[in-house]
This record gives sequence, structure tokens and C-alpha cells, in this order.
Amino acid sequence: MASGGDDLGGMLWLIAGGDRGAFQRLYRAQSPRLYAVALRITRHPALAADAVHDAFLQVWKNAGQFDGSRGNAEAWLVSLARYRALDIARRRGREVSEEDAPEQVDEDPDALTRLQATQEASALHRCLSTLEPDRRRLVVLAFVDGLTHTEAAERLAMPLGTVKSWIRRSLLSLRSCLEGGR
Amino acid sequence: MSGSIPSAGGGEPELDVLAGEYVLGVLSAEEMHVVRRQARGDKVLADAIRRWEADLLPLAAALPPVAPPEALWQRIAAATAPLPLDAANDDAMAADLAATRPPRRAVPRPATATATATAASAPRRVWPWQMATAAALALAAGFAAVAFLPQSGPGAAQSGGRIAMIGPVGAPPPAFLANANTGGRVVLTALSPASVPAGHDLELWVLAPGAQKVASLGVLPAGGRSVALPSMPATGTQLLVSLEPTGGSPTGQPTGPVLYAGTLAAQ
Repeated sequence: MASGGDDLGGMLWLIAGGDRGAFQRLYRAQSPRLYAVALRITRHPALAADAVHDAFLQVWKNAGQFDGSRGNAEAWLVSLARYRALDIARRRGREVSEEDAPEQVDEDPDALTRLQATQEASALHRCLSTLEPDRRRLVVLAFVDGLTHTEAAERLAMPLGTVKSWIRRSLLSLRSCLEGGR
Repeated sequence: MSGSIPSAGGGEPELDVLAGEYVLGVLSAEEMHVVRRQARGDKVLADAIRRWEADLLPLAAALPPVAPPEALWQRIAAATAPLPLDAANDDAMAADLAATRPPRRAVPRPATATATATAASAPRRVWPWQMATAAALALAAGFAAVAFLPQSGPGAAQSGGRIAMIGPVGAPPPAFLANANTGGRVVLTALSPASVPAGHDLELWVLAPGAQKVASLGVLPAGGRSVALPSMPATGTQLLVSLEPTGGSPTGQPTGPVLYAGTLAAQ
């Protein structure tokens, strides 16, 4: 997917070669997006900054391990930040963030709308649209906010078993739909 | 997730759901840890995770960007900063390619959750082979070329024979002659003595045409050696020699400067 006109794969290649200029360009181009992702999950600016920090350290160290033939550079990058944010959120617990006036607490009603506007996302959008609205909301909420099964159950006041089952069936359905569109 | 990890190849939908749950982020810290560990040795699971990461990416990409704190880049820059030696030489690659200067010291790395003791002590590759793109290679070759000839060439380095590399007057002499035969045996003969600093070894790498990563052919003694490949390497295959810690690169990819490089040519 487009990423500000920069060839991410090529930039990772340069970074693997120790090119600090490319590393800084990657940071300038991508950090606002990674920070946004991490902020939604950690709900705390300092924790989100930690996640982005760790992600970029991993980029600097492991850019050479990114295998363009097997993966999507942007997905790799976003995932580094997401997993760090998820780890941090899991470790630090949500209590911290609940106390410290989170920057963005509300569910994001526009997530799907924005998704729709992104052409590259049409397949995902189309497949999410095939889910029942409640389940779609659960999947989007879980991903964007990084909620565990348990947290999603609490947030939506649903039984844990139902959440697990909905997630599971939604994933099967999404996979089937995404495969069908290929 | 029920607690047990579905085996790869068994119930693939189960594995795919697990991968999806992992990427979605609904698993607990413990479950995430288990999946991550499993994925390291399970290509099917690792691929399923990568697929979900790419499939769900638009959801993350759709979030409005938020500028991180200004100080964040300073932290990252400081944590990844090279030693002063490196900084001084960052723009001097061309001049350095010819020199067997003392290797750079390992740059201390911040510990991460995934770093092992071995990896943490590995030197940062400041002179990675990745710089050896066609242009850089030509540059390197101009300073210290390795010549590669096919097996049956008249100049094949027979023991006790004579050989001359004819090149530009004043150019440094090639360091090694590589001679690949149809069976895949590559004989490297030292043409001029390579000085290898104490505590280091030369390591030989092969880069197939179009390949994105080099593969190690092992440590290369200063006097040369012969290595066996599965078959005769294709024309255009590059051979590179980097300076590594004794025993060779600890990472499986070059960590030191590429000192010599050359491309196999057909006769």
C-alpha cells in the first residue's frame, strides 16, 4: 500500500546497509503512523513512544532480515510497533492508562469509513462488510485497540465465550472471503 | 485459544485462526509468547501470521497519524548511534574499501526482549554486503578485484603453473583467483598476500544472480582454499570476501567490510 511515495523495501535495504540517512527518513515518514497505532493500543503517550522506540531499534538491527519475497514491508513495520505496544500494554496493565487520562479512549466509529476510503483496503473492507455489524465492530475494536478476549468482553459487556466464538468465526469467515477475492 | 497449539499441516484452519488471533491482538501475554516461540520453528504458522499482518494492515493504516514526541527521534538516534570511529568514516566507504584497516568495534546494542546473549554481543554490521550492489561492487573491484575464471580456461590455476591477471597499470593486484568447475568445485588461489588483522578471519560469500542475500561459503584462509557448491555457479554469480571475527560471522550475514569482490564470468 502507498506509504508517502517512499519505497519501503528499498529503504529497509539501505538501512540494513547501515545508512543512517535512510533510517532517519524512514522515521520521519513512518513514525506518525506507528505512533498512532501504538497510542491506540497503549493509550499512553510515554508507553506509545516506548513501543515506537523499540520498533525502530528492531528496524535498525533487523532490517537485513526482512525478506521482501515473503512479506510486505509496511506490514512488517507496523507489526513491529503493534506487537511492542501489545506487549507493553499487556505487561503494564490497563490500570495505568485508565488513570492517566488517555488521549483517545473512545471507540473509533470512523475506522470503517476511513478504511472504505482507502482503495488498497477494498478487499478487507468488502470482507468485513460481510460480517454481522456486531461482529465487525468486535474485530475492528480488538485490532485497533489491541484488546484481549477478556478485555473485549468487558468493554462490550459480553460473555467471554461469546467473544472468543465471534472472533474465531469472524476470522474463518474473513479468511474465506479474502481468499475468494484473490 | 484452547491452550494447545495446533500442529502445522494438521488442522490448517485452526492454525490460521490462531495466527489471526495473534495478529488481531486478542491473545493474552502468555499466549502471545507461546505463539511467537512456536512460529520461529513453524513456517506454516509464520506464513499464516504474515498473511494476516498484511491482510489486516489497512485497519492500522487507516488510523490518522499522530506526531510522536519530538524527543523520540533523539532517543532512537542515540540508541543506534555508531561509535565515533564509525561516524568519522561513514562517508569514506570508497576510500576504505581497499584498505584492510582495523575492524570496527562492536557497537553496544540496547537489550531487547528478543535479543539473546550471542546476538547482543555480535558486532553491528557497519560494512554490510548489502552495500555491494552493482555499483558498489564495481567500486570494490576497482580497488581490489578478485578474478573468477571457468575451469577450463588456459589460465586455470594449476598447482605449480603460472598465471597473470592483466589490468589497469597502477591498479592494486587482485587478491584471489577463483576457478569454478562444472561439478561446482570452486578453487580460490591467493594471488597477493591478504593481511588479516589478528582476531579476524576472511569469510567467503556467494551471491547468486538476482538473489537478495548472500550465503556463506565459510572462512577463507589467506592462502586460499577450495569449496564445493551443489553445482557450477551461474555466470554473474558474485563472490565476496568480508573481514569477520575469528571463526567467521556470528550472524550468518557479513558483519565486517567487504574487502574483495568479483563476478564469475564464462570463458
